[in-house]
Amino acid sequence: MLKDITLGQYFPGNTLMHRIDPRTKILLVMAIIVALFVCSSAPAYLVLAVYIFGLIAVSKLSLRMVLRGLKPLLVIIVFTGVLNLFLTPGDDILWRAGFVSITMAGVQKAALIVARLVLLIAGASLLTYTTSPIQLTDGLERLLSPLKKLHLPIHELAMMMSLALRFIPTLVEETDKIMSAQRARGADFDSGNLLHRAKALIPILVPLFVSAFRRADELATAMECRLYRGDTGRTRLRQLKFGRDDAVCAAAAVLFLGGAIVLQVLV
Amino acid sequence: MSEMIQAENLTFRYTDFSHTTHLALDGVNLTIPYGQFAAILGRNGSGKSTFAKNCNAIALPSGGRVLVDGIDTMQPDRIWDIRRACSMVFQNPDNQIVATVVEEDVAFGLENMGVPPKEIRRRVNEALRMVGMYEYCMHAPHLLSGGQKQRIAIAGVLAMEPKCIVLDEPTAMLDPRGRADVMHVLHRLHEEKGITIVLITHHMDEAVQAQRVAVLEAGHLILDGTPREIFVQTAKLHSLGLTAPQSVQLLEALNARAQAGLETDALTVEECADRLEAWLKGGRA
Repeated sequence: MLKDITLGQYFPGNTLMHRIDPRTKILLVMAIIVALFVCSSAPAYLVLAVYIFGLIAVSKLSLRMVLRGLKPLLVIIVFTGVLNLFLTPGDDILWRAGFVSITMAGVQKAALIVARLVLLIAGASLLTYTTSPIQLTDGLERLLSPLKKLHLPIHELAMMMSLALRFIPTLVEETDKIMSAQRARGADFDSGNLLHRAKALIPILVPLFVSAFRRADELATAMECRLYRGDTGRTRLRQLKFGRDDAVCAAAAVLFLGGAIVLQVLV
Repeated sequence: MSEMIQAENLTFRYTDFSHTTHLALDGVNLTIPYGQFAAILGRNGSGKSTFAKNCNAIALPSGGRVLVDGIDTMQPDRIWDIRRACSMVFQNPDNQIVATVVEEDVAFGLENMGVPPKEIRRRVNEALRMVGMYEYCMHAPHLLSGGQKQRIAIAGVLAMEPKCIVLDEPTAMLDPRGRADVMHVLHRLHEEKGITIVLITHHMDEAVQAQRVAVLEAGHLILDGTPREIFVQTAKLHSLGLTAPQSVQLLEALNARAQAGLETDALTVEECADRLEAWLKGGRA
């Protein structure tokens, strides 16, 4: 049952979006998010939608996969959509039943909110689908590296993130093993009420934590043996470089996102 | 001339949770010259892992001293030179792999050393070829078998070009196939690169392949010699909780039961077969 957990949701490929520098991608997604919040008119949103779904097409991601990413947030999308639809006050009443009414303004606002959330998630998933976790942490580390001057532990945070990613599959496997061991001795994780089930998890968590600490200790020793001493004098195998692909993406972003904002302001 | 590892009267004390002091190593004198393939044997708690940890300053002696590549491990400012000269591979491959991609993991040590990226790439490729894992360079380590992971861990230290690699029971968690692969790689490193190998193990068949065997028991160095000298002492080994290779046991049993009068120092199956063949032919003639 734990095998189904996928993290990072990375889909390897060799498209333009896969090739560009992770820093470009992070900045791109941030720009998309800003544009989505700045814009609110239909024409601007049309441009943004064309741009975002265009990028998804360029990355050769299946639309179904991207839409599946919406699933966990479906409740929130529907909830905010419905609330806006029924509770926006306005003069232009389209339909009324008792104290609830649908106004033209409500329809517009609901459509905007739903479009904004869908495009936000699609845009953000573009980053996680096309960037491997290690590239993502690398990109974040480089982007945030100016903050090192303020003595913020940026390198340490990035290292922790990548180690956490490295150990997720190991710990998932271990949890599976512990659960099987407890089941073999008659533990029951699947019945009873919530409290009962939560209590049944304690015999899993305790050995899991003990072993995680032991692993952390051994890992720290192994890292020291391989001369790890933090950020000082460290080089990297993979150098991040902005190239022609990045320039193309940046130009497209300026064109579309700038275009959308201009439309928003002018129209 | 200095030796690769030189332990002089090495003593190591530690205190457990109940504040009892234990003596893990008690006056061990052991010198491993450059280029030797040495195996260190001993049962659990004999101090063999503690000895390994003293070889690259993860543990520091409570008494006596350890010289690694001529440097005393008690000098805190030389600790990185010591660890560069003498790398270590641990028992559990999962707990020493740091990256989510094989080649990134092999590069980790070199990145820490501040090697230029182009040189990192060259050394990573070479190390992966040495351990026969080059075609896996873009794989995720958690999807590899135990033996493959351990070879990645060896490539990770090999890329740092150490003079000596200390391995603390590297095959204890592996299946027979994985063990054979790891041993093959160790012999290759020893023969082709001239790297000093210190193999901590409790597998007799692995120790047999070494040039020298040292046996620890309760923190003392009990036996030290070539495998041929050590493994014929079956009674002594047995009293230390170790068993002689099956080939030696078989020849001894034949000597005892059939007064075969065989030389018992056959360490491999092939040697044993040769002896038996000669004996059987001689018997018929």
